[in-house]
Amino acid sequence: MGLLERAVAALARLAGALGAVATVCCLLLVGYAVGMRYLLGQPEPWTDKVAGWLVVALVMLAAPETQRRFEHIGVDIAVKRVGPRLARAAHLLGVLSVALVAAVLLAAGWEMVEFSRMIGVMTDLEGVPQWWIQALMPVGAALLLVVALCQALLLVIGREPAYLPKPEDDVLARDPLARAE
Amino acid sequence: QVTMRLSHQFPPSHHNARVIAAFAEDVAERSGGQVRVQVFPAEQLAKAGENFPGVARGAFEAAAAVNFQWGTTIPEMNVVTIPYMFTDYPRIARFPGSEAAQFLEGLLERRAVKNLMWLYTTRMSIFTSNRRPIVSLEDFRGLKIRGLNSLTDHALSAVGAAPSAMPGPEVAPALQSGVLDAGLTDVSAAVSRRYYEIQKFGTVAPYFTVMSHVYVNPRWWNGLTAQQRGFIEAAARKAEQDQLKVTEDTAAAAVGELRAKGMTIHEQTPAESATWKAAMQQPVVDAFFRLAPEGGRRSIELLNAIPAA
Amino acid sequence: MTFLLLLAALIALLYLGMPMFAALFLLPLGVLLYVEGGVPALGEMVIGKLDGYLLVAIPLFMLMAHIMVRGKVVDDLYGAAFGLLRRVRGGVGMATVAACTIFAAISGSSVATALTIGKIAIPQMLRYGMSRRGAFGVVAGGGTLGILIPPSAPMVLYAYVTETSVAALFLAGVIPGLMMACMFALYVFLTEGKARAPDDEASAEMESGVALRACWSLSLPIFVLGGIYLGVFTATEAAGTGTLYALMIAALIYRTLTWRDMLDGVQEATRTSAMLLMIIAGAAIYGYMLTKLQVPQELTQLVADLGLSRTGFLIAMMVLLFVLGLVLESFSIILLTMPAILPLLGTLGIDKVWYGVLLTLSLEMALISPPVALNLVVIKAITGASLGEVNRSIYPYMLMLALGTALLIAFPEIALWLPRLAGYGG
Ligand code: NA
Ligand code: NA
Repeated sequence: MGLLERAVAALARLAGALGAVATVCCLLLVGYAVGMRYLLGQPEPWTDKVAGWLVVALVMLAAPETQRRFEHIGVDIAVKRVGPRLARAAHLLGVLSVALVAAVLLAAGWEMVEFSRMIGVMTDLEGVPQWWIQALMPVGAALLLVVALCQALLLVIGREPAYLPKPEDDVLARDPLARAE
Repeated sequence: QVTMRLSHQFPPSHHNARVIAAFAEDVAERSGGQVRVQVFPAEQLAKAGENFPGVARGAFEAAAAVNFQWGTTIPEMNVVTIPYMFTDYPRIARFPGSEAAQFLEGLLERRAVKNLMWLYTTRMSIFTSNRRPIVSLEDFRGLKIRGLNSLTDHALSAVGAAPSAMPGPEVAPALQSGVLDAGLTDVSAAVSRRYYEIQKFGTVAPYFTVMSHVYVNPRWWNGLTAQQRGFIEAAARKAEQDQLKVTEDTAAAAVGELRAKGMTIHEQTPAESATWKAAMQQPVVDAFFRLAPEGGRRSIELLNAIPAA
Repeated sequence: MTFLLLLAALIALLYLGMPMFAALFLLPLGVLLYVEGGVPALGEMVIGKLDGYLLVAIPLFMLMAHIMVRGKVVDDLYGAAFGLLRRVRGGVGMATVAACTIFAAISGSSVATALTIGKIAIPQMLRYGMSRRGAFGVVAGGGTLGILIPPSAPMVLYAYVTETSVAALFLAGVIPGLMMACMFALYVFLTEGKARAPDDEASAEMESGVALRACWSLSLPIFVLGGIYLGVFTATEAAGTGTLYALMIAALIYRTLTWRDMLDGVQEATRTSAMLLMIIAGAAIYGYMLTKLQVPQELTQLVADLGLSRTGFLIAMMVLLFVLGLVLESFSIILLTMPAILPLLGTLGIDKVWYGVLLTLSLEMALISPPVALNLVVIKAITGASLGEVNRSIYPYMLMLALGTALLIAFPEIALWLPRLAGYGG
């Protein structure tokens, strides 16, 4: 069990790191586009498109690691006020709902990629088929599914998944900038 | 009773949206309420980019698109938008039902949608500017101009301008602040986006044609009775014809309104058009052939075969 | 009424322990399965929602704030403001408002503003004789400026959902933000005037040149907002160049940013963005469901039947938003309400930019209205005070926000003047 959890964690962290790479690429790309436009007077319209794809990449790749750390926000005051058994049930419901969403996205993503490949849908960028970008969705969803199922399994057998929120945790337990409101 | 949900991106006041709304009423009338067309304008039901997969996979029954939205998925659809390729009104009026249209409809069918009607959208573009009018090709040199798409932007680069893509709402402030030197848009859009408030000069040119079209899900279409299809087809043929006049009138009214609001409008002379065509068409055709090596030539041949009279 | 039922169902799922994004997916999915038998192009809908150039601004603004915070650049803000205001009546507390205002112009988050400034300012304010209630209130209230003064994550989201220019919205937030800051400062001036530094205490802050260093913090929002105002940058470009500029300040001038900070900052910004964008993805299908159920039309009809005027509608919306703010956070409130009421704004002739600022003000209110009041939780976490005590400190600030909202409803120009000057809108 410990081995499974560590393997899933390693996979999620790797994907999360790749998502972070996508963020850095986004930054460099936007910087490059501004530089080309103002310093060389040569706009590069393709950069807008690619930056949008990098956002898809960073979301899909980092969502599993975000789930592993229980960082997807919800309303936690109810869970914090009930006893440990009810809290465990609420957490289980939470991770199972994530697993269900992930399964739906995996199926929908798979279907989408198949359709785009069959029809030959292309992006606005010459030579780039749509499914290259779309494939990020089933990949991310599959990983999210694995992470959530692993968390559910641990909760069911009475173990505690890593990063499980505790009633005494406060807002300082996370980075201050993690709440975008 | 059947319902046809039709998604499109035009705002309700757009001249294509008005014809589509009339089409919906026409279908209801012809079928005595047996066929209902439920129109969702302004991306209410789906974003422009989701219309095609939505219809192809049956999320809803119909959608409208602008020809160049097919981009590199069906590059041949760009053929009418090649600069100065297909901007005579009499030939545009003969486009629906032509062999060229049928050729494009065949390509659409291979992409799992059935074309229902062609809605002529514009053939009159306006090049707007503030410092000096854009009349000769030299006026383009070094001009930061709003581009349309990567294919037709080749024409602007060829005459020394620097086209940059920009979403519609950002264009006006960009023109005002000088991030852009020049705007390029459809004459009626220049009115609806109030370009007359921020731009002094406008050159109206038969630069390229934009065709919109409505397509339906083929499985749903084949499931209709012959009678139901007949109602829809008849209304579609009427809409195609009505659209021709509506669009021409809208464009003429727009030019008048821009003048009335104080813009200095120059209508391109045939001689000027020939000069622009000579410099701007070929680079786009070359890029078009790169995207569509076989279908591209065929579509141009068929388009050229449509007679002017 | 369908709308209120759906909202209630969603809130119930959240209170059962579902994360926001999962509830936002599953509820409409269930409804659509029941009503329509399925959602055929779900994949395209979700990916189409995420693939937008404007959304690039979210991770980049997030990263910009991380660099400024992790590079400890913003730590000087309170000290510098205090140094300048220490001799002024109420200056101890007004310095907090000033520091919050500047930090708000660096980060898009109110929680981060309250936390970053509060950690430094609260001990100082208490030391110089401010009441606990006054000190807690000014941090919680001043913190809310984080989302009104640009950059603002909720504003980017609002712009995206309503297809409003984010540059126009950012500019529209500036003057209302400064107005609220002045109101907060005036309140501190009137109620906490006695708190001040002793005359004989040497001003360590001024001597060490903290104020001068703090100018670097100030230069970042000037660079970002100035660029947007002058039309040099789009919002996304401003986020990118602003991040590079922040990197330069932290790495070359302060020299306090380590590689470790950078690595952690990027990963954290990425995960936070993933969290927010998954909610946005979920909202794609939620909005689709609303359209299918014809909820916008139902609401339009309702408003027509009630004969609500523009002002009447706005007041009704502010009340609804206040109630939602008691139980939900900002992103959800925007995503849940906007797809339903956007058509109404057009019908009633309400400027989308104006409404966006009003909405942001009501979101500020949500951040300090119990029981789910993040800024209050922040204060409790910093000080260890009881939630009850923190709650009591906030009422004057809620009143001031309500007053600000009323002023903005009466005088839309407060928000719209600056964006119009820059060429946005009619
Ligand atoms: Na801010
Ligand atoms: Na609240």
